[in-house]
Amino acid sequence: MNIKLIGGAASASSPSGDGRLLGELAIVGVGLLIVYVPTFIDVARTFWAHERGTSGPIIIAAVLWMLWQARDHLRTVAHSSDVYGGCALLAAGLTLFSIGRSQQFYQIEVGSLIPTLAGIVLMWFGRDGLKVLWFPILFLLLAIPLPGSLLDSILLPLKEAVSSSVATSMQALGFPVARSGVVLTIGQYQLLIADACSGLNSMMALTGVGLFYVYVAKRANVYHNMILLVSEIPIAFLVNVFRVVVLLLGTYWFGEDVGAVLHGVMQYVQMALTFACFFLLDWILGRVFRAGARARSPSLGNVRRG
Amino acid sequence: MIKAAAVFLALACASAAASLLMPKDHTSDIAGRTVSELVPSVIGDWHLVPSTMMSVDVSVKRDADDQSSLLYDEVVSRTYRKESGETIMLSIAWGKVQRQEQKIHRPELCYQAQGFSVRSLGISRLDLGGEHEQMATRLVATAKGRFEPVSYWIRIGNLNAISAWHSRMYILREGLSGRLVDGILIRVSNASTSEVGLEGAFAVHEDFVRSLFASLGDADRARLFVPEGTER
Repeated sequence: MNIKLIGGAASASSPSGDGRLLGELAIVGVGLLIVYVPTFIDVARTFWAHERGTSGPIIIAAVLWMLWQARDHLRTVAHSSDVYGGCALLAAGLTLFSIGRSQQFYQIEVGSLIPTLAGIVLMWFGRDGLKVLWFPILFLLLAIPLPGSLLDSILLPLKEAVSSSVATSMQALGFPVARSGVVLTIGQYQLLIADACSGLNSMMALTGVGLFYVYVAKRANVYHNMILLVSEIPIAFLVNVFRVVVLLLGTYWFGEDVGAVLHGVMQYVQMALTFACFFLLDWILGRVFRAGARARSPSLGNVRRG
Repeated sequence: MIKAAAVFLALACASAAASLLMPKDHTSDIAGRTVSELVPSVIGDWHLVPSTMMSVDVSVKRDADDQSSLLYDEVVSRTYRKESGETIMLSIAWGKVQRQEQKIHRPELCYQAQGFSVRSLGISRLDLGGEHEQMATRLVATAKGRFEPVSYWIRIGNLNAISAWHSRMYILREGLSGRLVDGILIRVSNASTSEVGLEGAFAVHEDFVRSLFASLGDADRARLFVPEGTER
């Protein structure tokens, strides 16, 4: 990220200017809380409480953290502002909010936070401020809950894919597994792949956290970043398949009671394992690309040729 | 400080505007009557009989403790039989208020959630007699040893809710005009053991639906049906 310092602005760095800026931002912050806290309470009740889009809180925490991290950087651009542009964006955001909130159209309601925040940033910090904060503001896109109808059309094929991967891999290992749609049968036990077993939640969580990590870690190598981002969904999928296999085997060998206990435990293990795999991949890529960079440097190049 | 005060005011106004825009009129209550009162027990040649077959639940249970059946204000599940022996299952789910995330579930999902695999057969025109027609979705749900042809439609307000996107936009438009609309699912199905006679099964559904339409007055027809032409 490039820091642009435009000279000739004394007020921003003076203590009184700082105090005034903080006061203004505090007033606006309280206003934002009044408007959007009820929104997120409703979203939590409608979506998060039903295991839908549970990565939302993580996204919001990440955005708050990034905003906090940008505070020093923002101070350097506090002199510039674009009041008209900011007003326009703010008006658009708040109109969307009123429509979304009154009609319980949560996607519009939560999405309105993006133009609203961008407008406020423009009013106080200008275009330079937006350059500093574009990522955390756009990152809020991931906090928009997926509409139920879209979710349903993703979930079913996903569950089918999970069941067929589980069935195929376990049959290859010689276990007596049969599949009918999203129902798996092993020995005398039958397991229905429910929405919670689709792995969608861990996929969304890893997508958000992975993107956030790539942004924060600022790896120099573009390929490193791209491989990380592209592998998020396969990692989450494979770890989820592994989870279902463990559940099936646990039930098959030790009975239903053990299976039920495993079911509770495995959802946490799955989340942890998903992230562990992601960071392991990051570490491996780091080593590979560092080795690659060394091999390409001229002195080593000679050695290799010699 | 003026800037901050102005923004604060704008935020407060947005909150107030959202409350003002909330729709309050329930336009299409079923006029104080329940759906079960509305649907007669004798429909033309069809007679209500005690259910012999467990009909597939209209709700989509995501987990064991899911409360999604609370979405509906009334659920009617009946079996009708004709003298000649044909039997159909009629399932109706009614929700007083339809909102973006609180809509009638499509039968595709209900069947899939209960372990059926669903093959969609697209949309067909049911002849209701006279000039009237009803567009309905047909599908076949299969599970171990059970084979169930289904015809259904969903009315949301005055809309035949065929596409999820249209339903969303319709609910949004009605809501912004201050109206809350209701929604109802009419599902006709029968259970058999083989795919033989699929066309016959759908013809029987159509026959039942036509009898149902004929047995109702205009007001009740509008509560259950969305005849062609009323869809915007």
